Amino acid sequence: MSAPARPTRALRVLVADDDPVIREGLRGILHDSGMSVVGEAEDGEQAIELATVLHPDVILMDLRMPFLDGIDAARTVNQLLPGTPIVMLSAYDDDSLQAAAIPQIFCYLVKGCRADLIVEMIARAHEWAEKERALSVP
Amino acid sequence: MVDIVTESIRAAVGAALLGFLLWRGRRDRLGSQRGWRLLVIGFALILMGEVLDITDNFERLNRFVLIGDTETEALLEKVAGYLIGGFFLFLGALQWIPLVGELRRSKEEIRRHSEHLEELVEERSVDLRRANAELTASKQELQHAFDQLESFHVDQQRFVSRTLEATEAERRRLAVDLHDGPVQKLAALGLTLDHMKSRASRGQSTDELVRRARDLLFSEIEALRKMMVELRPPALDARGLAAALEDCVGATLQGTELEHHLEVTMSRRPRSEVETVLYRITQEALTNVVRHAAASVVEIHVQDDGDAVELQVRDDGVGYDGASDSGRLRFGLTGMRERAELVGGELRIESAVGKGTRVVVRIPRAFQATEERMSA
Repeated sequence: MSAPARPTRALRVLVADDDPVIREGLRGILHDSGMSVVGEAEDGEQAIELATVLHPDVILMDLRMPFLDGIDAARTVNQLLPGTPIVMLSAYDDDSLQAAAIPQIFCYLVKGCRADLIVEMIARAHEWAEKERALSVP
Repeated sequence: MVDIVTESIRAAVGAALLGFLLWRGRRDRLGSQRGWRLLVIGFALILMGEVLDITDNFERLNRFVLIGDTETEALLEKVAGYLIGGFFLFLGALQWIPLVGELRRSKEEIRRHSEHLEELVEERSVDLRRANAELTASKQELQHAFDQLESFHVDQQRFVSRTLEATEAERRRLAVDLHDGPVQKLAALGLTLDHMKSRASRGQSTDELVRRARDLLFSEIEALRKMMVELRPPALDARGLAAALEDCVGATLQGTELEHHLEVTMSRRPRSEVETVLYRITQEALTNVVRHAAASVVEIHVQDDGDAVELQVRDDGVGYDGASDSGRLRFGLTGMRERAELVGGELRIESAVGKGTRVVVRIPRAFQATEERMSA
């Protein structure tokens, strides 16, 4: 795996997870890697709201959340903000099939993985989205 | 001339009688009958005598007759004929008459036997009817017992499948609890440690993060321990029902404003499965009180009554319509009742809207060992 190109500005990431401790942990790690956490959402509905307002570069989202599940939120984001990649996070490792059905989800990570893997996947997601955008410009 | 006529008439009558005899004899097949032949011969002889008498009157015919023609001789002929004929008749009658008597007796006997047979048949019929009635009753009883067995079997199957469902539901709940709790928190702990690592590698302070990591870890250990106790309270096995209930009441009512009174008065420890059932029912009942009753006081009493044990959980809350079905479903009452019935007890709930709720469980023979109970 080649190292991703260093972005010219800090990547703007929206973090969505119903557990405050996890959000804090993610915030810390992303910040330390030079990324900027522009918003934190507690549930799917909030995640959609904040995403439409803040227009993050990448969304980091937990699969299981109250009020609107991660998958449903991802679908809605897909419709409202096509081109914004999502990195899915979950404590279960058997929901990947569901996630795979939504094109905007770049990858699916199981909680407990290394923090630098999360960071790397966010960077790659952004890279991938940029490439897609470049290709679709007529 | 008159002689001829009378003699002819007599001969005719005789011939008729003989003819009649022969005809009946042939028809009824009396040929083998004793005395029959004698009678026939007798009649025949007499008839012959009559005929000879007639021939006496005709000179020409007399020539064919063997015996002589003086009057004395003629008389002798007649007498001989009649006598011999009569003699044969007599002999025949002698043999015949007993038969008549026998016949009458036989008929009488047959009639008697027939009557007796009818009586016997009637008796047997009565017996048969009774036996049939008993059989029908037995059959009905058997059918009834079979129906009961089938319905019991169906109940049992339903119970088993509900038990399996309940087990799976508990496991599912446990899985969810583990996912929502410890798994999340330990993942967060992992993130925190990674964070610490990156900060440390840049020479930044990690004290705050260390503190947070420790907090996370110890709170999760506590959560896991709680889960463990919920699964199987160690106090129940080690120290008995009273101690376990104290823990349970404390844990369930923690964070609420409920006042509680717990009283366990038992002279000895009941069977372990009875203890478990009482514990679980109390746990469920208390959970209901906390969730639904909006009560201010809850009382838990456990006492023994002879060989039985009685548990009461009473609250002064809002109560519910004890008669409706929805109550049973919402408050896990079926599960509670089944647990009680599993150890041979029964569960009763008294509640009315606005009047609080009382759960009463009574388990007889709670103190015998299981083997004893089964051989009783």
